[in-house]
Amino acid sequence: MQRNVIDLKIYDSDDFPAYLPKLNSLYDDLFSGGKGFRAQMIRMMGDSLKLEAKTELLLAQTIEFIHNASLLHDDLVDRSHLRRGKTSAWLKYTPEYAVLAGDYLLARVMVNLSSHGNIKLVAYTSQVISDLLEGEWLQDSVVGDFFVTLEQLDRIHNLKTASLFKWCLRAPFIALERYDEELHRTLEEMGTLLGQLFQRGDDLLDYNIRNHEGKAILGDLKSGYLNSFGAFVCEGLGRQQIDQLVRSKDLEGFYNSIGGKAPFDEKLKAFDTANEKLISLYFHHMDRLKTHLKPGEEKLLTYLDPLTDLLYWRKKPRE
Amino acid sequence: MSNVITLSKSSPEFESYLLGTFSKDKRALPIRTLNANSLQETVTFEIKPVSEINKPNFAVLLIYLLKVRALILVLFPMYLILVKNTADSTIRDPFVVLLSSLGILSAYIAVNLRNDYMDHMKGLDRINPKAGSRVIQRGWMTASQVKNWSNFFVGLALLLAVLVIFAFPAVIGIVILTFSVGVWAQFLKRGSFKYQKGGEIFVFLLLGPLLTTGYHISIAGSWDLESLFLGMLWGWLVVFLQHIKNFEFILINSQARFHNTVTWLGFDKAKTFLKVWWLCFLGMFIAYHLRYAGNFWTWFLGATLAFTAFPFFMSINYLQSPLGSDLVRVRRRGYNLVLMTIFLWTLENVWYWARWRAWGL
Repeated sequence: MQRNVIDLKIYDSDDFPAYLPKLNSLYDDLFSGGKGFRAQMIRMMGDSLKLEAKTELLLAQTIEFIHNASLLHDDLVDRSHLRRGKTSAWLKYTPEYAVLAGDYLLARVMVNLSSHGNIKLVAYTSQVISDLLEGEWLQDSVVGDFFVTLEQLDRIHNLKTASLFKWCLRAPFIALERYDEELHRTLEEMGTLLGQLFQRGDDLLDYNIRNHEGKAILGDLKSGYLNSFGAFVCEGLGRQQIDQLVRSKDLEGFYNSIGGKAPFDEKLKAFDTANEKLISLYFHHMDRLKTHLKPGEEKLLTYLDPLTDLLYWRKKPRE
Repeated sequence: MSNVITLSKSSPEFESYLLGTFSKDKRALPIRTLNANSLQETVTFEIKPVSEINKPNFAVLLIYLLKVRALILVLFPMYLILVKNTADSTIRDPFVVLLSSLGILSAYIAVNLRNDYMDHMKGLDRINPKAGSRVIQRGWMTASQVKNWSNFFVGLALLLAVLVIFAFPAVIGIVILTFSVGVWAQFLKRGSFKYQKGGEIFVFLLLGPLLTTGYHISIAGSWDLESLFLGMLWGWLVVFLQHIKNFEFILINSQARFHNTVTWLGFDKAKTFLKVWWLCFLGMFIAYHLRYAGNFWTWFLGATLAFTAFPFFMSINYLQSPLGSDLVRVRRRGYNLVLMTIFLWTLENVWYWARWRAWGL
């Protein structure tokens, strides 16, 4: 658990040829500074399921490669200038290099997974990559749409965010050649819920809610993207109010557009209540998961248990 | 969550929970569906005692269940045929007209209820929050009860059809054809063509030529070309509504593999398709009026509808995403266009009827 995310950069000596200009320095910039949360999820799964170290590394690297490829593309699509506090790759290197570097990561994923030899894992990973790209495409298509609904955003997040969480939960079982359909459906449900909760928790940071990371305030809104909490707040508001809301320069302006801080807090409470239902559903599926685990694998439940606290409520993990 | 249960399609209890027959005093409300419309489908139900479900009064329940607003789709062509036969003085027996009117309404309600039932069993109403009457989803009725009501109305429609056939045997062909199309589209457990490319043709036939021709025979005792033309025109317009609705949910339907013409064409081609469909309607509408109405109404209606179509065309051109609020705008403008057509068409018919009353022309 203590390894740095940058350790995941190399799985195979052929991964990133040194003769390609700027490629390695671009990846060094990209990988350093990341929390590697998804790789940590793989490690906790691997630890509970007694996954071989090499397989665990491959899976952890795979998910980080896919995630980082999506960040490279995302920053270019959103024209974001910063990534993890540093200049974004498309700005520092060139947009062309950023696109190619993202594509190259995805290609390496396929090369490395193929060498592992589990065709079901390759097929599932390909599906996840395609879902992710679909989600990115759709998200870009709703930029500037301030009347989008929470239900519509959930569909995008299910493709873009939840697909990776689902992968983290399912891939270790697939690597172990455990293909029980009921087990995978349960994991898929859990992954979907985790992805949704993570995204909603992340979207709240934009409104300075549980923003321990110090994320920029109203960043999404200012770049023309109404995130899930924004869409929730906008439900039932008139066109004029929404017009005023999207022009908010700061949180005070945002509160004023919906009638003050009190209505904002009420909305937040309602949003939290709705998400508590999702959290209950997550635990319902965790109960179902118990029946699919082999003796000695129950440790997995203790790893999975605090994830909703971590992802939605943004509580610090217990040591 | 003790009041929640997750079942897969392979589970023996799955169907009884979907149908609502698993318990007499509880309802299973689907709250999440995974892999809808596939063998891997999994549904999470919230189990609620019937006593805890806020059921509206019977009148409100009926308004939802029978989708009263959508009754215009069947009432308007009936109105057109009635006005035509009144003006032509071809009504043979008002009692038979009443029977056939009730029969058509019963058949329409039966197909609508069956549609809700099928959408629920296939999962369309669980992945699309706007599909169906929402009566099953809210726990007001079980899917099994909706199916039983549908069967009741099929029986009633058939009974009334038999009575009309006694009066006008010529209508038997239309009744058999209508029944066959209805069964093919909605009542087969497998092989139903509603969820296939081009499946909208059943809507065209049932609410278009079959309805108007059959109704005309039950009024006048014989068919005529104008009623067939009217039916084609109306059927085309109703399918326009269907395409717009399918377009609004192109992403949801495509992801869950619920096929229709719009999902087959894809987002970009479907945008053009909707415009072409409307222009074809306008062309047919003008052709019908040139043949059966006066010059004033032909060009007044044609020009007005062409002009009022601009906002709809613009909203389609502006559309960038298969998700989001712009799709809702396209749907609203498309519906407004249809409402405008109905309003103008009604106005025209009122004028013809008034002229007939005043001068017998």
